[in-house]
Amino acid sequence: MSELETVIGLEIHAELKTASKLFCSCPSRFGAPPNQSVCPICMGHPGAMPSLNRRAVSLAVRAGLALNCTVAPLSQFDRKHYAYPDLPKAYQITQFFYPLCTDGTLSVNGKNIRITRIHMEEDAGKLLHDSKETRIDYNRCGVPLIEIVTAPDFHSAKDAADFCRKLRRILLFAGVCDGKMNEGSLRCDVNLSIHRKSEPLGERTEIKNLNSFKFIEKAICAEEARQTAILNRGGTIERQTLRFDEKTGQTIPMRDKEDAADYRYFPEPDLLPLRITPEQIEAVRQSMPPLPDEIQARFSEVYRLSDEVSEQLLSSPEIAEGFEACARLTAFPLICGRLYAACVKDAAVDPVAFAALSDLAGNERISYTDAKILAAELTEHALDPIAQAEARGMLLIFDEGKIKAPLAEILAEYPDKVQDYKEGKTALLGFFIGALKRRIDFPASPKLLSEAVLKKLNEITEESSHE
Amino acid sequence: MIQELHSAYLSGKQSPVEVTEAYLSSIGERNPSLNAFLTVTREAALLCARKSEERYKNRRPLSPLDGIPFALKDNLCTEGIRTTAGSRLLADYCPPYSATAAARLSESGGVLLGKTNMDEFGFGNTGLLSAFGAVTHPFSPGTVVGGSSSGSAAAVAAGLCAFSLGSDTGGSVRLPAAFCGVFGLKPTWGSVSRFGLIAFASSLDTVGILARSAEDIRTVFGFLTAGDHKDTTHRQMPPHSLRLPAHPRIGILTDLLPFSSAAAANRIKAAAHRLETRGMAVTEYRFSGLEHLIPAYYTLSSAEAASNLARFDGVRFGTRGKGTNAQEIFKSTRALLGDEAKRRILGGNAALCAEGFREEYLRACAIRNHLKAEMTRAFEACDFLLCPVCPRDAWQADETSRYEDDLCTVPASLAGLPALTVPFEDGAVQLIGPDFAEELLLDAALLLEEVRA
Repeated sequence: MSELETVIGLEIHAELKTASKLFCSCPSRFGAPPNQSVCPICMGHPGAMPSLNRRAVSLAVRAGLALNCTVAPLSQFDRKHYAYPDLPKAYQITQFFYPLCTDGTLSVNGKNIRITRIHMEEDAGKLLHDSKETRIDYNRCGVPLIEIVTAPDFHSAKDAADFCRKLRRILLFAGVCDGKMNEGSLRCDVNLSIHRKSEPLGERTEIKNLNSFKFIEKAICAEEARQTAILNRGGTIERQTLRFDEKTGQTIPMRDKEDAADYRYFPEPDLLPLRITPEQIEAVRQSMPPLPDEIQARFSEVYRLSDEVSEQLLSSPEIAEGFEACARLTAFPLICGRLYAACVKDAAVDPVAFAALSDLAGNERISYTDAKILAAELTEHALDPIAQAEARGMLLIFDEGKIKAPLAEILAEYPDKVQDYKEGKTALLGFFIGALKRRIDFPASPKLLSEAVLKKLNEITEESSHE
Repeated sequence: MIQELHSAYLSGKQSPVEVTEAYLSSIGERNPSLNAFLTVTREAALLCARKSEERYKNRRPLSPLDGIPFALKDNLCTEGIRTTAGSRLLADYCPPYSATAAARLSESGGVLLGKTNMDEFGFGNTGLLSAFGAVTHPFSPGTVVGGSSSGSAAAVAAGLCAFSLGSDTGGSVRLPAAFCGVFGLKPTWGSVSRFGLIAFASSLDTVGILARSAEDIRTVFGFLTAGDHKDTTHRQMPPHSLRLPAHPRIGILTDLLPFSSAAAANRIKAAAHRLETRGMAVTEYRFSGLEHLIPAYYTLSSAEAASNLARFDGVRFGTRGKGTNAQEIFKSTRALLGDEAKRRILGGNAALCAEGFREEYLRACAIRNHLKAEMTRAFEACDFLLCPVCPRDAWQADETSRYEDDLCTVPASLAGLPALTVPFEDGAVQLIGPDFAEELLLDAALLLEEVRA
């Protein structure tokens, strides 16, 4: 009997970064006072009709192109019916029969994940429960979403979470979504089932509304464990909708949503079919900002950055752009990258100053530690790196003459260690460098120090061998 | 009449305030027994009329509609003015915005007298199914007025307003117009903005006009066809409207005659004969699939109605039933719907559910597409079509109405075509044209009037 395999598919909802909602001109923004960003259309008043936001369509097409999808020349909006207080029309306008995009791919950890479809839909309002009553805030109602559905191509929690990380970053760089998961801009639903390889897929459960990568991984593991335990004792999996309880680390059935509701889909009669021409698709392609993979390739080839540093610099388009603005002006883009990744979190920095700082560090005029200090300060206020380094005694000494005496002192103080070194314990080089550093009272270039010590030690060793 | 009023205002022979007061007075007198108006906006109307009068005094009227008193069917939203759609669910609902069609009339200087009674949410062809009581026939007590624009038709017929807007989804303007002896236009689907029309069946709903003459219909229609970005299904009229050609070819939908009463059939023959004597070519136009039209219409319209009415749950607006949680409130609120509304919603949901969708909804769509193709063929051979408005003449209020009574009106509805009720002899006939042929139909109506005279 073959072993159990976990099969996972994801449905990711991303809020499109538009100024207005999908079908009305209400501002689409997070955190406004409750029910202040509403109108008869998004509140579903009788007689109100939807009017499609074209910017939302462009961003949805961008997402499709960034994920290698086919963009349908003709797609359509449909009504999905269910009764719930956060859904004003008692139907959601979505795309069921003919979605905007199909057949995309995105690879993660060496595995190719198929993206079945990307479609547009409107968001619902928010219910806020307290002990006495439930209140409803409709500000979010009508906010444009894309739903990205993958094939059940994942077999591990890590791959699923990494996929979401990669997806979020692509959407962020494409300007499609702001990726603020804590604000609900990106939410993930997980479909999970377990089967034995070569047997048909098992019954799946759905875990809804996971809004952090950590929870995606934990929820998958918890659900996998739960289903495995049931299967191992011969039980059957019930099709259910679950939520992840952070405190207990368990997946819990959601009692308030119906299972297998009949949504009575039919085409939305108040919206014409959505036509996208090849010219329009090309225009979107032209307007697409550079995507992470493209930028990473450039960081690697042009600036020789390590994957680790690139990864950090690709945390947001602003960081990536900010780094490049500096990198173009310095002779040491590698150091610039390391400094930027380590010290610049969200603020902008003056590229000229940062480039000058990178040059100082690259030329070993200041230590890397001091460079980090100045880099951090540059994120808070303007400064002249050279002037600061001078004034604060950070400038490293390059004068070999000043090293001679202290070095001679040290070697005289530790004859045993000198002897050990001569006999082959070359690791003691570090000891001597450290001792010398502590002995001198001025900042010296690490390179200078280690070269001087090494040179002196080699002289001594050669002298001995000639004796 | 509208043009005459406008001229009278211009010449000073009559004034908007005078005319408005006269209408308000008639309403006061007759509405208690007719129940045509649910809301009368007396003060606002007089204020409006006074402003209009000022404009005429300064020789600066806004338009030929300036100062003309009109009524709106109560499913057209009017900001701050109670809009009930004939339902207990909206008994005290004051919309926060106005329907585009309504706003256009007001912006042109029209004087809104009030909102007219209707069958709940448009469900019905009798005028008997309003939550606020039936509309009484102005001239034949005991006879149904027709619906669902019952109040609009009665008001125009009884001289309680110069014209009225209604809505026509399966015949709701044409039928009551016929039963009350006035003209009623169902325009081309999409030619008049539906924004603010409380939806029954979105792909069939139209905003229609009821008036006492073809010229009046023509005048009002001109104000309603401008584009509206809030209704993205709106279709612009072509720059040059189709007019009646010199030698029109008329097609009689003879397939409808066997289902019609002798009176209705004879009226068609009489109208055809009269037009023939004027040199028009009259032929019969046969089309197939007649037996499927009522089931298809009821399937499609009920499906969309069930969807459009799902929003009435008492949470955000309208009447809220009792309950301590969402489910209880949903149930008790929706219990307030009338029986016909409940029937349509149940049938509509059945047609949309997983089992019903293919068998019912998609089949109805196919039947509809077939009819559209038939009608397109028809207008290659004919300039307009002639048929009854209803298989039978207005029945007694205590008789049962049948879905089959919509047989003559649903073809134009399903095909999205313009159609006009023209009073003729002791009843009315219906003219149907191709897309955007309203002017052509009105030309034909005038000819029929001429012929009659």
